[in-house]
Amino acid sequence: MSDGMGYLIAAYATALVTVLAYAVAVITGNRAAARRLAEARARHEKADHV
Amino acid sequence: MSRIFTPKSLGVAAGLTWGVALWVGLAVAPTDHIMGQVQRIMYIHVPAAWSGFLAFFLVFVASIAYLIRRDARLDHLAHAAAEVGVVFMSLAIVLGAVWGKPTWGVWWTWDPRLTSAAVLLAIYLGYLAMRAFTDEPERRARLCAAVGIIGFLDVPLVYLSVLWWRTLHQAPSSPETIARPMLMALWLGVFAFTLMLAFFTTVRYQTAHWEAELELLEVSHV
Repeated sequence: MSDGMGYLIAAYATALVTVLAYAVAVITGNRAAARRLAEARARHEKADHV
Repeated sequence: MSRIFTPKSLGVAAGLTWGVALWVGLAVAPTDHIMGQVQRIMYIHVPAAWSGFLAFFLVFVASIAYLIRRDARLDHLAHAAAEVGVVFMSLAIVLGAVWGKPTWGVWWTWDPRLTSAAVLLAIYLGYLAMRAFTDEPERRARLCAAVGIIGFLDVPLVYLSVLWWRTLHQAPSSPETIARPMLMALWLGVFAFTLMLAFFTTVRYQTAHWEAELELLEVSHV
């Protein structure tokens, strides 16, 4: 490809994939942490009642 | 007001702004008559580097504030910003390499700008490794705050390296020497990446905060 078009496509594809993959990882991690915390709180309250 | 600036609204704003920035950078800004199409990499390379620097500045400020106030929330903020900074700085270095090959003829060279940027990335990778390998939360926060403060000293060095040692990497462009549409694409990119930094840091901060609470619950449960 002339005029550096191949490098341009590679650069933009890299940026898009990196940002999207990181966004998915961050959001998934956030939801998983929220779920684990809710479960731990529930276990904690249950143990307190016993 | 706080309901408007939720992580979700920040994420949507960041995504939309970046969409517009990509369109302006790829379709509106004119083609550079010397470098050709490959110059458009500037609209993502410079914003990625900027947001990396800004993230490390956040780590620096949060680390100083932590050592003064000993508030765990400040440590969580430093942790979140360091991780996001590493992602953006890695992206900036990779994009620089992709731009360097057709422009300079090499993917990588030990130019002062490139070398100092690589050292900066290594410092914050070390910061994240230190977080992962130190168990005791207070000791971890204290050690990482020290690295977050000392590590930031490399940021001005990276910025000034192109002025102190004129080698392969170009010096910063002046807004007066750039065509208006090119400048608009660049500023839009910087704005979009700043919003992305705000979004990622907010969500990672929330996650780090919850993980710390979970750690405490598990310790008290044992």
